Amino acid sequence: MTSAPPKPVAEPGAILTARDVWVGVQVGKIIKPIVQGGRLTVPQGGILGLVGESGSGKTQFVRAMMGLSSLEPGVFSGSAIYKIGDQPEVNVLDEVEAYTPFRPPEGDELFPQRMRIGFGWPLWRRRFRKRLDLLRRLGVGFIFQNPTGALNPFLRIGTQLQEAVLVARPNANRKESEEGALHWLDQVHLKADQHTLGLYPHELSGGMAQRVMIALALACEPKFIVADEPTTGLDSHIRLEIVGLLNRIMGQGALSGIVISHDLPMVARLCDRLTVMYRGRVVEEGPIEALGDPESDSHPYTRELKERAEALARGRQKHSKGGVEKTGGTGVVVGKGCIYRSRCAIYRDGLVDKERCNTIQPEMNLIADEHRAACHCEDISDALKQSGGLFGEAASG
Amino acid sequence: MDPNNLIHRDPGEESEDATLAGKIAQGALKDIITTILRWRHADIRLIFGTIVLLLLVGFRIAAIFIDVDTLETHLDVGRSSGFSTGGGFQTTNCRPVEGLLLGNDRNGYSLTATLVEATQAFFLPALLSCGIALFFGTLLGAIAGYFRGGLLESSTKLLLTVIASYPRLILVIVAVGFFVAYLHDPGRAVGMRLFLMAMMLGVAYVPVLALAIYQKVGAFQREQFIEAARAHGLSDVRILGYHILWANCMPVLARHFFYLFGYFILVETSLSYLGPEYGVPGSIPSWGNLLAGCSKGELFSAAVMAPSVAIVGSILGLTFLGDAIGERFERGRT
Repeated sequence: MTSAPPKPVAEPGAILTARDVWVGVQVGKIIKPIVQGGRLTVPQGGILGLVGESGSGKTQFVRAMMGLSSLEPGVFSGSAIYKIGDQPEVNVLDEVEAYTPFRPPEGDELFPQRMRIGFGWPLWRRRFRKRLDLLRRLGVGFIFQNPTGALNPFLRIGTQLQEAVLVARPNANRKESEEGALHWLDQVHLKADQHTLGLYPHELSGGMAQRVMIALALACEPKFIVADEPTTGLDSHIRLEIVGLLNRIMGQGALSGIVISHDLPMVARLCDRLTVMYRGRVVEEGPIEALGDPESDSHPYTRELKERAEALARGRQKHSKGGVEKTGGTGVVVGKGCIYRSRCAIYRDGLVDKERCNTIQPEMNLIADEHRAACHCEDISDALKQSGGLFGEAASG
Repeated sequence: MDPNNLIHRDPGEESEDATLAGKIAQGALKDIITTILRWRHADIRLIFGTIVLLLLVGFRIAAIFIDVDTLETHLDVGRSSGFSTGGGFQTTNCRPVEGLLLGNDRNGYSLTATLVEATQAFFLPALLSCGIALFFGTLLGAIAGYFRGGLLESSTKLLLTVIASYPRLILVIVAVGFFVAYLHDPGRAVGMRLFLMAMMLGVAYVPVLALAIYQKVGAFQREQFIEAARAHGLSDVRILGYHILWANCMPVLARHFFYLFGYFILVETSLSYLGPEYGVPGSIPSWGNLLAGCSKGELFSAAVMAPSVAIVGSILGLTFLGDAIGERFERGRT
């Protein structure tokens, strides 16, 4: 019998502290870990940007912390501590290890292991639900990725908005809840009248639906909000409007939250901190100014993301040696060593101990104040300057 | 300009007015015809079904005021024996009597009045049947669908499958026969038999409805908007009751309500036709009894055609109405 691990504690001044979160999905007989030891910290009144390519596990990571993990086995390890206002701390994933039959891999194991038949799993789920209800009452909102799918197609948006208003104010009467619905429609720059309240979701355009979705999340009067790719699938004009709207809502300081996105310029505009995920792992976290800054140390993957975004903005699709570059695919990778090494310029050019990269998973090392990166290289910015560009030669295959 | 000219009329003007009126009438007629032609399939079914439903409700209300015993009989046969009680009774039937709309039935009463009166035999029992099926069907279906993957789901499904695996009509006959055999008071047996028939048909119809609701609830469980409702802090009861059942299962419930109403008419008339030991006894007017009382080989007479048209029309109308309302619910919102 091993001694009990130390109880996780919230970081001072953080509204959400998540450590070592593992989320799995059953593929055949194995449990594929789609989030491996995820960690993030959202400061009080701050906005965290969670970026990474498609399939890197951003959404599943956040869903696990929001209690929306619908997969089996879903989240099976870790801690996510909310400290909202004066309320006591709530660890949503408290005791998850004790109830689930899965555990993260240890030593030479690659995949999460099944330990025993988990009779406790439904029990844990029930407790999880209760804790989430508490969390909802404290004020945690969610803006979904696909607004038309996240609105009930059979109910008018007025009804849905009024329901959300009633969640925040259970004692409101019909008239008050309708006034609340109109107020939130006005807040998201939609025409606040009876006609709009009477619309069904299929009668809304994409931008309108996204704004209704934001209004719905706001109507619950949250203190912590998660926006899951709020601008995906919208044209640039609407995107600008939505970003402006989110900026106004989140920039007032009263609201903390997470913005999940591929859209680096948007994240740079909205957020104070950034967490970067690559294939199921968090590779870097820190203040937004320091990340991707050529002068400061930063994870090569973050640098690559930034340069790609800039290249796209300049309209330059092709690189030095011609042809469309390869990214090596997406999705979760299970294995030893650094997961980024196949694309890493420092590794490619031998500016770091390759043996270490091949065998040891890098820790999240502190490289500056409140800035951590998972890289074995001591001086990343120097090494990147010495190497022949981030993706120049990789393009040649 | 002489103002009198304004009211002065030329001789030809009146006919011009007439042609104008004619043109307007023609245009209106054309409009009406094109509108009718443009009506969709569903609209025609909806109108037909609504008319049938209104007629049934009207008949049922009218039946309250019709008392068979005060109706004048047009036969020489004495009324003391009540409705069909003897075999010989059936030979003195159906000679049309002047002054009655559809003639008279074999007991000498106005056939029209008896047809209206006969709605009593199924109207309220059918509503009871629908109530039972809708309540228990929704409850069981929602439980099985919402608590997927548990003991509750498998046991509920087992119960439903057991009920569904027995023929519905035979279940009604056997169960009603069983309960009636234990009733010692034959006077109460008439109302009791209808009540039991309604109960049993409702129970027999529960699996149909429950499985439909089960599938819907199960499918919606995985939808994103249900997840979103949960994320916005709505309770399970609210999500299941309002977001899934009320908002999304209404088409199914409405459809099956009218189907079952029609199905009850079908079962009631069939059992009544078979005889007093299965369905409604002869002392109560019923469309099935009216048909059973007609002599063999008779077809194109009012005595056969009127109840037949009533049965076919009402079942068809109710089925159409169920379909049309279900489709309207679904089409209007997605």
